Order: sequence, then C-alpha cells, then structure tokens
Amino acid sequence: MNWTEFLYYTGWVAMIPCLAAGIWRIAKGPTTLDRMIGFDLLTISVVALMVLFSVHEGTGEYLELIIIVTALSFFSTVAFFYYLAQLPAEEGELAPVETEDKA
Amino acid sequence: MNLFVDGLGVLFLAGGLFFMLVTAIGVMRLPDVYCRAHAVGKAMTLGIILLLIGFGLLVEGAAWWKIALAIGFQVATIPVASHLFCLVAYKKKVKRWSARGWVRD
Repeated sequence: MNWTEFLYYTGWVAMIPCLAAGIWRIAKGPTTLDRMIGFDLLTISVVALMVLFSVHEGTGEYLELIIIVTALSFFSTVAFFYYLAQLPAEEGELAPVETEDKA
Repeated sequence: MNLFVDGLGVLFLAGGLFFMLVTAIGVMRLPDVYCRAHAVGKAMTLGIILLLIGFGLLVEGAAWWKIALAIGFQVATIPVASHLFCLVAYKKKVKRWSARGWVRD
C-alpha cells in the first residue's frame, strides 16, 4: 500500500464527517438558510470526493465534470436566493426560532 | 525529483482534507447562520484549492489550465454564495449570536 492508496482511504474517513455534517445541518437547521448551508457543504464535498477519486484512478478525465458540478450547485443556490428574496420579511421559516433565546 | 513532487502532492492533499474537516466541525458546532456561512466561505475554499493543487501534482495526465479553471470556478462561486447567505440573513433580520446573547439588527 503506497502513499496514494493510504491517502484515498484517509480521504474517505475525512470526507464522511463532511457529508454527515451537511445532512445533519439540513435535517436540524433552525432556518431555511441553515439548510441551504448544509446543501452547499454537501455539493462541495461531492466535488472533493471527485478529486479524491481522480487521484486514486490517476486520470484527469473528470476535471470538466468537477467544473460543471460546481457551476450547477452555484446556480441552484442562486435560484434559491432569488426565491427567498421575494418572500415577505417575517414569513415562513426565516422568522427566528424562539427556543434559541436561552442558548 | 519525482519522489519530491509526489510527497508535495500528498502534503497538499492532506492539508485540503484537514481544512474540509475544519469546515465540517464549523458547520456542526457554530451557533449562528452568519458564523456557519463564514466557516463554509473560508475554510472550504482553502480546502478545495489545496485538494486541486495536490491533484495536479500527483496525476500526470491532468492539464494545468483545466486545474486553474477549476480553482478559478471554486474561488468565484463559494465566497459569493457565502456572502449571499449573510446578505439574505441580514435583510430578513435573522437573529445573530454575540457575546452578550442573541441580537437582532
């Protein structure tokens, strides 16, 4: 087992907490913006996993895919912001949650 | 020389993975929308840049201009998304955490 092989599995060990943190933040987040932060973390973690897989396979074939996935995640985030900016101010889940006052 | 380049690439990859872990801990542990957006915008950009540089050093068949384009895309998109999080949260008057407690601007 050389260094690259060792780093591939270490990378999986390091990236699974990133995916878990994103899913946990999507499930738990008090406001909609927290859930969008979790979504952003998930997409960029997927991009990092693509980089790790490319290093493991030794090919540069997936670089276009990395660029396209980054652009798609950014466009979906911007579309969500465009939707959120049109809502009235104190409506929906963006209103602050009262249970956080004692934190 | 080849061993030197490979060791440098392994070091860059390890640094990138470390900063991705820092981002995961920040998103899980920080108390606030603004703090979480700050964690995503800074640590994650640095981590993905280090990962892509290590990828370019370790893999022979990767063109440098494509890696530079990918790094440029990351640098252009992730901090913009982070600033948009903070902008929408500020416009919608989401409460923020401070040392004195929860504040609404």
